[in-house]
Amino acid sequence: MIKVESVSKIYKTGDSEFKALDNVSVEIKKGEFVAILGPSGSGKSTLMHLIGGLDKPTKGTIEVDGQILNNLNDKQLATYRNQKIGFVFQFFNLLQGTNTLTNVTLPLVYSKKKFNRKTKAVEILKEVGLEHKLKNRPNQLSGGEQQRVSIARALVNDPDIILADEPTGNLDSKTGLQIFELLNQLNANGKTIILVTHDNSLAEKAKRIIRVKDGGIEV
Amino acid sequence: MGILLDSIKMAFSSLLAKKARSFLSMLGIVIGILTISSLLSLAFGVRSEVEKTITDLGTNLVAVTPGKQLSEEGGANLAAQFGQSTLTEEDFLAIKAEVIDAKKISVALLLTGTTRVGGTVSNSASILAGSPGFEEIFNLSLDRGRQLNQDDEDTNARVVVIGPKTAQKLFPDQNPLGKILEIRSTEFTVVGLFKKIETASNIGGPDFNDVVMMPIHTGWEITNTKSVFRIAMQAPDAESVERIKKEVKDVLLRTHKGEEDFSVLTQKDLLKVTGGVLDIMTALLGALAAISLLVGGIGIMNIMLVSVSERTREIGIRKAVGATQGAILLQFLIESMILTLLGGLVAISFFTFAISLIPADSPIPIKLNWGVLTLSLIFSALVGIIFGLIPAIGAARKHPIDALRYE
Repeated sequence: MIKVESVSKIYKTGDSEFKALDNVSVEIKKGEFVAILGPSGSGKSTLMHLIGGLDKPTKGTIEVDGQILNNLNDKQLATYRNQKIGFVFQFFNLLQGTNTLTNVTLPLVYSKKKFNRKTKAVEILKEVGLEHKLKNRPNQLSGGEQQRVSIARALVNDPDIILADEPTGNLDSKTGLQIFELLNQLNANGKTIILVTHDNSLAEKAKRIIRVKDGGIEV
Repeated sequence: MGILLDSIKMAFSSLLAKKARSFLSMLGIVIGILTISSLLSLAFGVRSEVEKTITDLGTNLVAVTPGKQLSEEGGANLAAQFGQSTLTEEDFLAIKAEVIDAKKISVALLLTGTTRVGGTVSNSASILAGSPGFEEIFNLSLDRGRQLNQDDEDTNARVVVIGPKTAQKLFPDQNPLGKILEIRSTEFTVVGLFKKIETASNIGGPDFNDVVMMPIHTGWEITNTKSVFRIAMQAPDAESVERIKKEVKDVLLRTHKGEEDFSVLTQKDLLKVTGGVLDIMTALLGALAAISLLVGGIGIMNIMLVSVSERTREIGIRKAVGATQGAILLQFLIESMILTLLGGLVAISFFTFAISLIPADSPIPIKLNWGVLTLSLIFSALVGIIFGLIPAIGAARKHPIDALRYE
């Protein structure tokens, strides 16, 4: 259960202020597949960053499974991102120069769980259909493959919540659809999926749409 | 523990990804550590050489020299080395009469002049006049011939015992025994040849390998003085060295009417004087080496700053998947530390190899010293930590969102 309550986020650069989010409240239940839809600059990415514990709100509170993120220090937030959240980015954000296996096991480096890293990573890579590309580096993979590696990385530590920021934005429509199907399947397996997109048709495939515009939520 | 091992692995892979850059910045450290280890080894080498020379002078030695050798602060007084001697035969006789349990009390006079054999002149040989016992105190054993004896003293005999270096110079490849040499227009017969001493540089005294020694009475006769350059004796055991020193001092204070224009020195005192000089030398060499290491360290810091900036996005990714500030800090610190430690290892291996090339009889007093090698490695790791810290803190403090957006 994710509870966003009267959250504002203000960015300050010098004297000027920019209100990315203005008094936003929203709830997302466990196991939901939600699309956060809005044009660029609407504040949807900011909302995702706040839920993902990459940043803290200027005002309001964010509560995830009973934990109030505002109160966490840097170390606790890092643990929260490591254990609770899996990020999927538009530009994949894989470590260049390191192979698929190393990229997928990256969250395990910072995890206290005692997995056999390779076994766990191969198991997840099978789910996304990339178990035959363990030794390939990102530049040897197609865009769709890279995004599947990054989904595998998001899943490797068994988080409850997947935050996907325009995951299909850099892919052709057919590959984009495959990635969406993969997310759909993860949702069927019990993961909470939050998909951030500006693409109407993609958002409509989600089970619920939260529309964001000018830092606020349209009901 | 786990994160440490991971950090080491990650450090190696990112250093290997930029081989040329890693190598060049490492080179600065290699040069710095090489400078440190060679200069420090040299300093320690000289120190142990000097200390060995002093201990080799003889056990439980108590020596009286003219003038005040040690200033009140414990430093060396140079005037005492060169001034007119304040010691006389009287002092010698008084000590002999009153300091009863001192052994082998002997006396020596240093003459100025040259030694000549026909056309060959030796300027370097120290001309010494000594009473019997002097050679024993300074461990001067014979290669061949005989030592000076009481008979020579009593008859003011014109005989000398010479050092091996002097013999080689004046009588190259000949047996010097029975040969005649000339000092201050007086002819002397060579009756003995000293054995070669390995640690030849005798601090504050003559080089016993290059020496011509005649009976003390002969010396007094040809210089027409009764002055004395050194009175030396041996304490019966190590415990009584300080007591003998005190007794000698009391006797001399009386014969000198209360004026302390002489010094009574033990080997400990000599070590103290030379130790002070050596400390300054070690500090100077250390400072020189530190500068070269500083330059190397700045190179490391520069390259780490570039690396952190280039890898901003990587830092963002790591933070997004759960890396704490501490983990990022550790990763970059370990990276710079591995760089400098490798540099240190390369430097000391190279140094060890270079030392092994120096022949055993080389005059360079430089030896492998495990303390110096360990110190060098510790220094190289420290440089990695000190100069890697600012870049690593910069990396750890990057905001994850800004870092992820970095192009």
